[in-house]
Amino acid sequence: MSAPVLEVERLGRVFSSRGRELVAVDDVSLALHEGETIGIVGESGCGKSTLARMILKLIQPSAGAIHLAGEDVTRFGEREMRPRRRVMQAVFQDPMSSLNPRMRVRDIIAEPLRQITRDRARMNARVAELLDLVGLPANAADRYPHAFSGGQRQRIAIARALSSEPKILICDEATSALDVSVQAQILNLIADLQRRLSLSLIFISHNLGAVRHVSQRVAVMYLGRIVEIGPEAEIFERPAHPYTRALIDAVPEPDRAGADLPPLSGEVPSPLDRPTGCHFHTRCPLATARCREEDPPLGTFGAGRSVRCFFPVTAP
Amino acid sequence: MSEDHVIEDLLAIDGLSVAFDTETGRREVLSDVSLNIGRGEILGVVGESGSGKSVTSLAVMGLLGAQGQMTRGDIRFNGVSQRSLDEAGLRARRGHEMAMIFQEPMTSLNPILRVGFQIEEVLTTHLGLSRAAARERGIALLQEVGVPDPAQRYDDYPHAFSGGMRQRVMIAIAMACEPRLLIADEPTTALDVTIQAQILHLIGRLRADRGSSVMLITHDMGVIARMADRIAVMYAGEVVETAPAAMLFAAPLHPYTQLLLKAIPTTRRKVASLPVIAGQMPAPGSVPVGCRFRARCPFAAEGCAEPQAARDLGEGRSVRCWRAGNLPAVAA
Amino acid sequence: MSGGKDSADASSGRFIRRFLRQRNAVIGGAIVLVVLAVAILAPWLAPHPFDATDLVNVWAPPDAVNWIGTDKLGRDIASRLIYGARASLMVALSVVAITLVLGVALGMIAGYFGGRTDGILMRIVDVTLAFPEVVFAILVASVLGPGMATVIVSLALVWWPGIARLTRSLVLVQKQELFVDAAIVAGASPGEILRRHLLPNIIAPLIVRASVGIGFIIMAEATLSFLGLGLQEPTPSWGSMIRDGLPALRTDPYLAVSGSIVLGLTIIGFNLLGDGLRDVLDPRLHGR
Repeated sequence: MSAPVLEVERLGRVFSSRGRELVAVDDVSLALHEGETIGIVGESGCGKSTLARMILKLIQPSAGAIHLAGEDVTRFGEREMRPRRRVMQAVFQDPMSSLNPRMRVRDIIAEPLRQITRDRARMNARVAELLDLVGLPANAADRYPHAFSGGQRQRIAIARALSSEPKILICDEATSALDVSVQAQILNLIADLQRRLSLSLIFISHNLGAVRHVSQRVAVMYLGRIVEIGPEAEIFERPAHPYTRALIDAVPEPDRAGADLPPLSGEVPSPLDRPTGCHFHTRCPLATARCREEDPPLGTFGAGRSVRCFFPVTAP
Repeated sequence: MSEDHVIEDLLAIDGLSVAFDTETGRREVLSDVSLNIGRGEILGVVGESGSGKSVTSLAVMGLLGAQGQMTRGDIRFNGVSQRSLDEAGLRARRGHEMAMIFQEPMTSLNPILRVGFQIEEVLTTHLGLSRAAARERGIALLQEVGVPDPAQRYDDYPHAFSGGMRQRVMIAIAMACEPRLLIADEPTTALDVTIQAQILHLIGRLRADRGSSVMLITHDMGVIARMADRIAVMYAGEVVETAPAAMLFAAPLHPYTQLLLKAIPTTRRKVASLPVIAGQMPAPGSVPVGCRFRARCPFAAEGCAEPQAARDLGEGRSVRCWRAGNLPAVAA
Repeated sequence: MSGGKDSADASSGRFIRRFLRQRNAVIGGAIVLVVLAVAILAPWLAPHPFDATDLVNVWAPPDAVNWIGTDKLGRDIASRLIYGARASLMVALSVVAITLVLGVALGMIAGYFGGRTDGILMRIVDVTLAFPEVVFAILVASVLGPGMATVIVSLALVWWPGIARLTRSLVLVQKQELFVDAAIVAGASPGEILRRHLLPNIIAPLIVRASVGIGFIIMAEATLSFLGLGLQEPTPSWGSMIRDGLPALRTDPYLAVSGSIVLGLTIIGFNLLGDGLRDVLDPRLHGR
């Protein structure tokens, strides 16, 4: 297996405020290979957004390492990162605010290109190419973001992300602010572009259906940690961690036959005050004394799977 | 129709059209909307943004504001026509006989007032309870909606509660005067999946215990499937299909419903590509004559240029499509 | 595919149309244009030279020769008012230009980079704001002597901190926007982010503040000249004219009153323009 295009090892981030410590991300390790999509799911407070910002080097990690195309960029500051940014781009959640309302679409899309060339002709040609790639008309280039709908703006954001021909795309809730039918269009577009351009994707979302649709591997996060990671079919059809099971069960869907399963009780504990032992034990229907006292490590659970649990569920 | 003594629906929206005065003229946002909710029933109103589902709920509550007008049709609640009520009458009804909860509990709860005070307000205004009696009732309500340590939390401010807890508080306020109708407009959209499950469970339980009717408005088909007895699908200001829930999912008749259901990525299986509904919903003021879904419909034909009336198909089903029931299956 | 919005006119065309629809902006703009025109065309508009004295004809009431009358040295009030526009506008526009350049630059740097730079700059701002403008003017006048330069320099010193503080808070808000993150990820340098992303998005409230501020600056110049720190004889400024006219107010009010009216109208014009601009510029961002 070739070297991963992006690798994070035991990445962590702590925020300190008034003497208290908020553990946003803790001991997260991922290896992204070429052409692969890793989906990351979790609910509020699970740390997936902070993880995305660390990977994108928008904030510094408190612990761990980040390797981009084999190079250790953990300690790199803005200046060192700038020339390396063309390789990794992002699509963000809110199409309303991720595009500068005062800039023309042309300039928005061409921004990552400025690292590579300042030649107007080349930039315009590339912008035209990208608009076509994402299914927008050529005249969109001269207009401003407010003239477009949410779905169209997200296409513009995708065009921007692709302009420097990156190898890695980080999608942070890229479809969450969109209507169902528009979401389907954008998901198809992302999946299609990934195939055509051999992109490696990290797809972060709280929408499990969307994650399943685009990912080959899926990681489930809870209170800053990965509690389960594995191939999508395994995670969704034979989830092992009790939280993963509860999460999937909680998603209401039209074709789920009837039964009103009792919902997972309680609330996500505060990251300021994480429970002892296994962080999930306060809500876990299978918790034992051991779970309250000992902290389970992320252990192997079959081919390409890991679970952070002393009693992973084996029956489907 | 013979006038047998039919147990009247709690809420009957009959041919309602609503228009708003905007800077660029009058825009019709609802056209010929007809919906009914029976006693103790949960009606799911599903549609994407711009479909008019929220405006419908505002119309029912009488909250259209100065710019909104009911241009045609009527809304009858408990037999009383809305057109016969003035603002005072509407206000007496709001919070008392019908109540509403919204998507963002952060902004619908007053951040500078204690939670208990906000519950009491409804009780003292509509039921004329004394402060003490209202407090007792308020704490009991918090208990009922599942807020732990209700006596303590009664005096907390909204920011001390998590999103899910705040939504429970909102539900407590809404249910305080035991309304016959609860309107829930995207009540769980801003919540995590596991918390959403809890809140939906709560709403279901309240319906069972108190016999309230619920109008549940959402864009999430899954939530509708989980909760609704009957479903109305809205598109571009019209109701395009209504049906009992099981029937809608088993055999959707309107092409929009069919495509919408297929466009949702499910956790149950992985498909190569999601069927896409090309184009966009027409905005109010740009709706075409004839079927509003025509430009995006794979089954569009000559007859679709005619205005489409809602056809009553019996068994509680109606569809606004002349071809419904005679369509080839949508390609997967 | 356009989503129903208007077609891609030049945005400046849209701006002009919207501007013209705003009553305040049009009225204010018209007044400002008139004052500007008067200032520029003063030599051709003024019926008499502004320094032509006529000691036989002091404090004359309005007549066919002197439309508004004469002042204590027999100089034609109308001509002096017309030339006075030059002084007032020159001061106002210079001060605005200097304070905008200085204040915006420093405010952006403080807001974007934060940390110690921000701390130092904000302390300087606080200290400067503690001084009333008159104190500054006196200090500067003691170095430069009274005159136009003094007025401009001292008013600029007084005004730039306010602009800097406003800019800084605008930047603090705007830098949280997602498109700034997107620009960083796209590889933009801090200079590019300040120039291409932050500045265009904070310019609207700043323009409004500047046009409203012009009114205050003209008033301040009038005050300084009134106190004798500003423009010196025989150069007319509305402030000094009011100063000269006040002692004679009871018997010969034309000087003070006409000066005040002209000053007041000009300030109203700039204020209306500022109000109108605020309404024109801001909703644009909301996609109307």
